[in-house]
Order: sequence, then C-alpha cells, then structure tokens
Amino acid sequence: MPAKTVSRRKRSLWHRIVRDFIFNKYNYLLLAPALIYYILFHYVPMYGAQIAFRDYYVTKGILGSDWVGLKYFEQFFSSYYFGRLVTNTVLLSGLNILWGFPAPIILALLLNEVRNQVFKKTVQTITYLPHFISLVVACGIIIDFTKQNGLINDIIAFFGGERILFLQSPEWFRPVYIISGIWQEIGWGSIIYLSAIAGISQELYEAAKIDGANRWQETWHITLPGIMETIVILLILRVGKLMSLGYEKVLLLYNETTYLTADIISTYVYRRGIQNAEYSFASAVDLFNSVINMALLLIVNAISKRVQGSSLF
Amino acid sequence: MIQRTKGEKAFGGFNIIFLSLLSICALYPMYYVLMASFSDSGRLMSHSGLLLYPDGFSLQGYKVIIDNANIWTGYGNTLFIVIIGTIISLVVTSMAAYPLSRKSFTLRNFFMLMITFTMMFSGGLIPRFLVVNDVGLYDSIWSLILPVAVNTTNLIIMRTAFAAVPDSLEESAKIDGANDLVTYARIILPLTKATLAVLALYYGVSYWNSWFTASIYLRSRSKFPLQLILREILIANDNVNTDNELMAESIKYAAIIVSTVPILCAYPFLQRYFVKGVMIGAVKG
Amino acid sequence: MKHTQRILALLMALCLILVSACTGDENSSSQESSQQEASQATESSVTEDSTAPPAEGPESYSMPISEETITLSLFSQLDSKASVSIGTMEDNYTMQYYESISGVHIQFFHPSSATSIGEALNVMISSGEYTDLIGSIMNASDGLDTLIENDVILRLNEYIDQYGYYLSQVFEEYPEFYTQVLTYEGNIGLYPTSRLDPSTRYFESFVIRQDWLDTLGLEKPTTVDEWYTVLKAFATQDPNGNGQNDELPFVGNSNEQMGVYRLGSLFGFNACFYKEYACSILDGKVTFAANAPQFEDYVTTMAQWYAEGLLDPEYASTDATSWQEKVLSDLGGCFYGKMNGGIGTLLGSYDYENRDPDFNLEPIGYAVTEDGNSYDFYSQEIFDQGGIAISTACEHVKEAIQWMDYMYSEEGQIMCSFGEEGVTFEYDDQGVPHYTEMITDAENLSLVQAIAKYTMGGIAPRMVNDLYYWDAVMSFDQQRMVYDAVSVSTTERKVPQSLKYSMEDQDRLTMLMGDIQTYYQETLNAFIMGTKPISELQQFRDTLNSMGLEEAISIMQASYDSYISNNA
Repeated sequence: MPAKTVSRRKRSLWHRIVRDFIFNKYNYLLLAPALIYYILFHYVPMYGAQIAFRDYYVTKGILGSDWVGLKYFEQFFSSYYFGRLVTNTVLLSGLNILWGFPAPIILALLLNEVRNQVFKKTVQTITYLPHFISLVVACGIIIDFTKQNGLINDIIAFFGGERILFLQSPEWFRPVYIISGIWQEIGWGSIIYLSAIAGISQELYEAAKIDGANRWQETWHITLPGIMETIVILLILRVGKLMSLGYEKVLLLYNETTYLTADIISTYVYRRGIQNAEYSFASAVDLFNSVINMALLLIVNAISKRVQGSSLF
Repeated sequence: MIQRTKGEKAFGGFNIIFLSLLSICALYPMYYVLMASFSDSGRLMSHSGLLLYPDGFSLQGYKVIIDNANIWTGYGNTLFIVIIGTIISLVVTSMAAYPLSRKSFTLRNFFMLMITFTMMFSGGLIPRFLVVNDVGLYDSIWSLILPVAVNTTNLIIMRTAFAAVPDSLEESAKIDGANDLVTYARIILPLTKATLAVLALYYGVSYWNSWFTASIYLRSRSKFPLQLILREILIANDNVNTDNELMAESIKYAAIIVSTVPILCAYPFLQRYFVKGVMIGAVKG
Repeated sequence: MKHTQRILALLMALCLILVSACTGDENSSSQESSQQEASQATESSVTEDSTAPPAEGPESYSMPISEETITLSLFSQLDSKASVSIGTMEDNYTMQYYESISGVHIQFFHPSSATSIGEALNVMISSGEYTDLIGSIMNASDGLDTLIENDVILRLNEYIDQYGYYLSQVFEEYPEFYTQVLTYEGNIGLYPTSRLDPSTRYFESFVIRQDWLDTLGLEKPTTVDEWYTVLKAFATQDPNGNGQNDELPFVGNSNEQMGVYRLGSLFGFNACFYKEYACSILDGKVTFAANAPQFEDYVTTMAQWYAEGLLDPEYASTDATSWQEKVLSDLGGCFYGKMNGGIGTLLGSYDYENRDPDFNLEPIGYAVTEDGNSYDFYSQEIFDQGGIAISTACEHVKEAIQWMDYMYSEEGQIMCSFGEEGVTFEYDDQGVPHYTEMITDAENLSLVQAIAKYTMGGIAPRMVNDLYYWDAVMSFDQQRMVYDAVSVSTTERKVPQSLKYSMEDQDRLTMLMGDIQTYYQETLNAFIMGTKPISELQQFRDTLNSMGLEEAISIMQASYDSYISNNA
C-alpha cells in the first residue's frame, strides 16, 4: 500500500514537471539566455570558491592545490584586526545607508514639488552629472578640495574656523566618505524614484484634491506609499550588500593615519589578497563576508515581508 | 488649479533655493576640472581657492591628449562595448524578467532565489577568470560584455516593472490567443519603455565606466577601452626602479574632459527620450 | 571545432613540457642538434671571435641571430614615458632597428598599468597561455623556483652556459651579480637586468632648497642636530620671503617610498617598511625598526618636529603628488626624492619667471650618526630584481637567449639606450654617444619621453642601466651630485635585497608581515602625530611580537646568515 502511494506521487511529480515545462515552454525559452549566463559566469566560478579551503597555487589549479580545511578562516578570526575590520565595515556601510539611502528619495520628492519644468529638468541634469565622473577622478577632486589649502578649508578659514586635515583625521573619514557619496549618487539615485512617482496614477491625486488634501498630505499619503515598494526593494538590496562595500573608493581616500576608521574588510582583502597574492586567505575572508551578507539579506527580507508585505522572495 | 497656501509658497521658495545650491555643489567640481584643463600646469599647482576661469590659459594638455593614439583606439573600443553591450544586456535582462514576473510561472521563486543568491556569493577573481579563459574569451573584447551581461539589480528592477503591469491586460491578450512570447513582445515591453530607458542608461554607463575587468581579461593594447587608458594616464605608477615624469596637471584634467564630454553630450538626448518614456509609463500605468 | 582546438592546445602544451624536460637534460639529443645548428651558423659567418672563447664556454654569435625573421612574444609593461607617444613598443624606433639587424621580431603584450603588473602576471600564468618571454617576472606572486618547478618558465643556467656569451662574461667579471641572480634552489630563472656601474645604483637622496640655505647663511646639514637647526630656520625665518610663516620645512607623502620614514636613516637604522620590511642589520643581527635601539630617539624627535611644524602636517595625506606641488610653490624646503623624477623634474618645471629666479635644489647625503658613520639603506644592488624569463611555450630558446644576451654586449648596451648610429645618435670625438635632434628636439615630448619613443633608454626590455644613458638624461648638474652625496655612506647596515627564501619560508614571511605592516605603519604615524604617547612604546613592541614578529625575523636572520656564508 505505501509503495503504491509513493510511486503515484513520484509519477505525478514527474508528470507535473513535464506538464509545467510544456505549459511554460515560452517562459523557459525567454529565461534560457540569462540562465546560461548565471550558471556559466556565477555558479561555475562559485565552485572555485573552494580555494578558501585549499593552499591555492595558480599553476597547480584548484583541484591540484592541497586541502587545508579551515586554516585560513582561523587565521582571519585570530587576526589582530578582526574585530576592528568588522566594526569598521558595518559602521561605514551602515552609516552610509542611513544617510545616503534617503537622500535620493528626498531629492525625488523635492523635485516632484517643483512646478517649473525647465528648472526641474536643469536641476535633474546637473545633479546626475557627478555620477558620470569616474571614481578615480571623483576621488582626485575630493582630495583636492579637502586638503589643507583646499577649497573647503579656505571656506572654513574665511569664516574664522580652524583648518582641518580631513583625510588625516580618523574621525573625519566617515563623513567625507558619506557626504562625497551623496554628492556622487544623489541625482542618479533619484531617477528610479522619479520614474516610480511618474508611474503613480494621476486619478489618485485628483481624488485627493477633491477631498481637499494639500501638497504635503498628497506627498505623505499618495506619493510615498506609491513608491514604497521601490524603496523597500532597493533598501533590501542595499542592506544585503552591507558587508561588501567596494574597496576602490576607500582605497583611494584612506591612508595609514585613518586606518583606525577606514580600514574595512574589503580593503584588507585587497591588501592581503591582491597585493600580497594570498588568494586562499582572501577567499576565506570573502566567503565569511558572503555568509554574513546572506544572513543580513534574509533577515531584512523577512522583516519587510512581515511589515510591508513586499519582499524580494 | 487649486490655490497654494502661504506655507506651500514658502516651501516652494525654499525648495528652489535648496535645489539651486545642490546644483551648484554638483556642478562646481566639474566646472573646476573644465577650467583646470585650460590652465597652465605650473600655475595650477600652486593655485588655491575657487577656480572661476583658467589660471594662465593654455591648450598644452589637450595637445598632448589629442596626440595620444591610445585615446582614440580606446574610444572606438568603448563605443563598441557600450552599444553592443547595452543591447545584449537589455534583451537578455528583459527576456528573463518576464517569466520571473509571471505568477503563472511555477518555478519563478526557485529561479529568483538562484539569481539573487549570486549577489552574495561569488567565486572570486581567479576562478571567474578561469571560466572566462575556458570559454575562449581571454584577450577578446567580448570578455568585457558577456561575463557582465546581466546585472541582478537591474533584473530585479525590470521584474518589478513587469509585475506592475495589470494582470487584466495579459489575460485579455491570452484570451485573444496570444502566447507568452507575443504577450511579452507586444503587450508588456511597450508598456515598460520607461524602465527600459532607465536600464539602458544604467547598463550604458556601467559599460562606459568599466575598466577593471578589462585590465584583467585583456592583454592587447589595441583592445583596451577608454577608461583603462584614462586610468593609466591619471594614476602614475609607483614603480621604485623607474623615474617617473611629473604628469602635468592640465593633461590629467584634459583627459578627464575628453573622456567625459561624449557621455555628457549624449546625455540630454537620452534624458529627453527617458523623460518621454517616464511620461508614457505614467499615462498608461 | 572548439573541441579540436582545445585538444590541439593540450597536445602542444604536452609536447612543450616534454621538450623542456628534455632540454633540461644536458645530454639530450635535441640540445646537441640545436648546438650544431648554432655552430654552423657561426661558421657560416666566420669572425675572429669564434676562436676566442674557451671550449666549454658559451659560443659567440653575430648578427643576425636568425636568417629568417622569427617572432617571439613578450609580456612587458609599457613604460608611462613611452605610452605618451606610442601604443606599443613595436612602434619604438630602436625595437624596429634591432629587429632589422637581429631577425627577431618581438610581438609585445603590454598589460594595463591600471592594475599591478603582478596581478596581470598571475592572470597570465593561470590562463596557461604564456608568451614566449615574460618580463617583470619577479613580480609574480610565485617565486622563480616555484615557476620553474611548475613548468611555467625555463631554468636558464644551462642555456646561459651555452648561448649567453656576453652575460657569462659579465657574470665572470661580477661574481656577486651571479650570486644575487641565483635563487634559493640555485636556479637562474630570468635574464637579469642590472646596474653594473656603481653610479647607476644611486638615484635617490634627500634634497634641499639650496637657495634657502644660501639666503639664511646655512650649510647643508650633516648631523641630526644640524638638520633640526636648518628645518627650524626654514620654519621661522621666512626663507621664501613672502612675509608669512607658511614654509613646510620637510615634505613627503604617505607613499612611504618617499615619506618621513626615510628620516630613520639619520639615526642609523631603516624605518621604511617598503625596504626589506623595515629591517636593518645591527651587530650582525636582522633587527626590526621598532626593536632597534635608535627607534625611540627617532620617534621622539619626529614627534617633536611634527609638533613644531617642521614636518608637513599633511605628510601622511593620500595625495601622491601634492608634495611636489608644495616644492614648486615655494613651500616645501626639503624632501626625499629621485634624481630624475624629483630633482630633474622639479628643476625643469619650476616657474622661474613668476617665482623665485634663484630656485635651486641640491641633494644632501645621509646624516652622520653618533658613531661617526652615515648609513645608506636605499641604494640598489647590481641585480635590481628585474628581468625577463623564458616560458615553456617558447620554441626558439636559443634565439631568445641570444636576443637578450646581445643587449649585454657593449654595442648592444649603446643600441638599447641610443638606438641607431647616425639616426638617433652620433658619437663625438671622445667616442661618447649623444642623441641627435630627432630626440632632443622632439615636438611636444620631454627629453625622457622622446628617448622612450625612439630608444630603449631607461625602459624595458633593455637589460643594462648603462652609464652613457644615465649621463645623457641628466639635464642638471644637481642631478649628478646625487652620487657624490650618497655613495660615501656605508651600506653595512642594509639588509641585502637578494636574500633568498625557500618557498615555504617566503609564504610564511609574507603572511606574518601582512598584519605587522598595517600595525607598524599606523602606530608609527600615531606616535609622530602625537595621537599616541611615546610612553606606549613597550606596548607597541609587545603587540608586534604577539603578531609573530620574532618568527618572521628569525626567518630573515637564517636567510641572512646563509647569505653571509655564501659571500664570505
């Protein structure tokens, strides 16, 4: 009796898969190129992540390198800098989200309030500009402007303030990083919100006007809820990348005197992994990072599902 | 038009002032670079404070850049990557986003999980390179396009946009006898032009700015994209055993201008189309 | 199609490995046959030289190396001086000239300079598609021994014995060069680049605004106390004459190649991590900077100088070129710089018309310490850690060796630096080569850029830093003074550059030094900037030891001991 049910279930499962495949054949067809891409360029290399557990030598290949188990993880956890790196990464990235994430939303809402279309377009075009400046150049400009006789210090001195060595003071590193980040990305980041705002049905606004709502109430009760799903999705994505803050910008801005606040996991990996070519060690740190990231993403996703009803999966 | 209250008027005024200040902050650094590129290198170095006009007008920087053959081949390569790359990326991304946005597609959550998982886990530089090498892309210009053809964030944005299209439209198309392919191409795509425009811009810019993969996957200089050449010009290499020339400041700034101007010129046109696209989306949505 | 290609490639690789394994064997037949070919080639163009070399020494050869043009691929970084005007060294005039006389065409693969050369090398090695010749091979993450063991590159000892006519002569003339080139396992993994003439090994020094010294009636400082006096005078007596105390007596940048860390040499030890992990040889022992008896004196003095404004407050800044700006705008008074990139470039680009017409930079030697000696930690050895390896993919090993070897001959050296006689250079009455107007008057290019466009002067793939070139690029007498200022110092405390480690030791050392470097540099800065009191010095040393410093030093000590016994 039990065997029979199992076989029937098996058959029905197989049956269902085949039926689903036939039913969705065009969907599979559409998905195919992307699927190949993900398998080839993401999942196959993922197999290579095992070098974190091996003594990887470039010429020996992945499988040819000796298996060393958790050696490199232990090395990282017992490293003198482990605690500081984690703290710095979480703080820099967290603060960056805290200040940097709302900025484009606010800009989008403010732009939405502008009635003069020419002015609106001009502001949009101009605020997108910094995004087109490549990172190296942007950092060159930041360094130029924040140095002792740079523009910002000239302004501070003009108002009778003390000149500040921004890039040599650990306490200033995070503000410089975050503010310059807002400068670079505020306009660009607002595009998606403006597009979402444009997608809100005009009927809703008209209905609200009939109900006597003012602009503020419209913003609060129609515009914001209207773009909430976009906000939540982008926030989840952003938080999911909390630990994998790019090293390039930090690398271009930090120096030994600001390591205290500026040295993050990815710069550490860069120094050890890329500069010293300790691939296995770097992979181990990366893997650790990935696990934390994944946990974060799942947590945020679950929270948003419960509170907001919108989630990634 | 409903009368604006005093509060709204005051807010409108502040808003304009605030946005103007923001625009100045965003614009000035670029203006600075422009002025610096026309300045005399020697005087530029000792310059402090605002730069409102070129300090000692000189075109030396541009002369050097225009004579640099690398810049022009880099330009050609970058144009190829941006145009072909953006087209491929858009096609593949939107194709994949469609089934993933269909509630009728049983395995969509499985595939979605599989795709988002790649945002958190990566095999790292060397394993990834080995794959690129194995499929024969090492030292090929396609290595700058195919391994980054789909951006997961963009895919999710596309999927969200598709999901926002009312089911009723799709159902009525189905009743008319259209299959998934037809629904995708005839009904869904035209409705999401705005998002497509935004993604075209996202992809275009990322292809335009990419240099890191190029520095790893390419070894023939004739295939280098512009950004890579630019980076070489901007970052003096720190080799102890060689004496490096002091690269005149104005040359660097000229390089920035020469390489940034095209995308800035293209931008207003893109933006016009893009704003139009947003409007279409708004009316239909 | 693709499949067959891959199988073919595999088969080829297998063949190459077999061939290289065979040629590694002294009595192999393939080697004999190539030797025969070679001797036939020399017989056909009989020269007086052919009888000269001893029977077992390498055979001599004459141009062309190959009657039919052969092509060798070469992985080599394109120098930034050359990339200004040409996209590849194949467009370099001297490369074309060398091809025309040697019959060897070099197909260049220039990696991007946007990433480190080491990264690009590692990538190429892992791709399995090697170029025939691999430049900058010492920058690969694997040591030469590992690369030879894994059949990436060839062991060249036997090939040099057989074909390396000129290099062998140089090895005989400079035995220390030979030992420097040998690896831990006794291999020669590359055709080494060299600094044969002592004066080419000194190209950095402290540099001072001589006109400021003259204005203030001061002499060049020779002791730490005199240094203090001079820097203090720069800070307080307004040598730039603008009425403001805006002078920055000592400028440098965070790139510790050029920073305040070099001032450790004033105290007789090396504080610069970039150089041999901040170690010095004190009383025969490898000593880490923080454990050197001079360290406390050094940090205390630096902290005092910093507090008094004698060191540029932005010395640790992220901007690699701002110290040069400070010198050019009459703020910086003293710095550590290179002969060409520091002194030459700054003297050349200073705006004399609108600024101080007396602007003058002169090198100063390392300060005399309490024991009466001055110590040099920064000059180069003959083997400057550069060179070109031959990969296992190379099918023309003999020609490759001779192509590189010729650049060690006298004519070859001149050709590299100066190009073709009558076109890019002429000899004067004393037989000294001089660049022609083609180079000296090149439009839109500075002298060194023009040299890099038309010749291999100072850039890869030339082999020898040759004295004539050295001399020709010095536009200012002040550049020539570097040698006199610096070469008088003793190198007895300098850790030899060519210490050799086994593969395991090298890995261990790299791993341990990773965290130590971070901790050392950031704490040293904190001491100097006063954010950490010097009373915490003991704690600093304890932490370093807890990071495995002792083990790292013992690895270096063992290597140093064997270096000493080998050179005794």
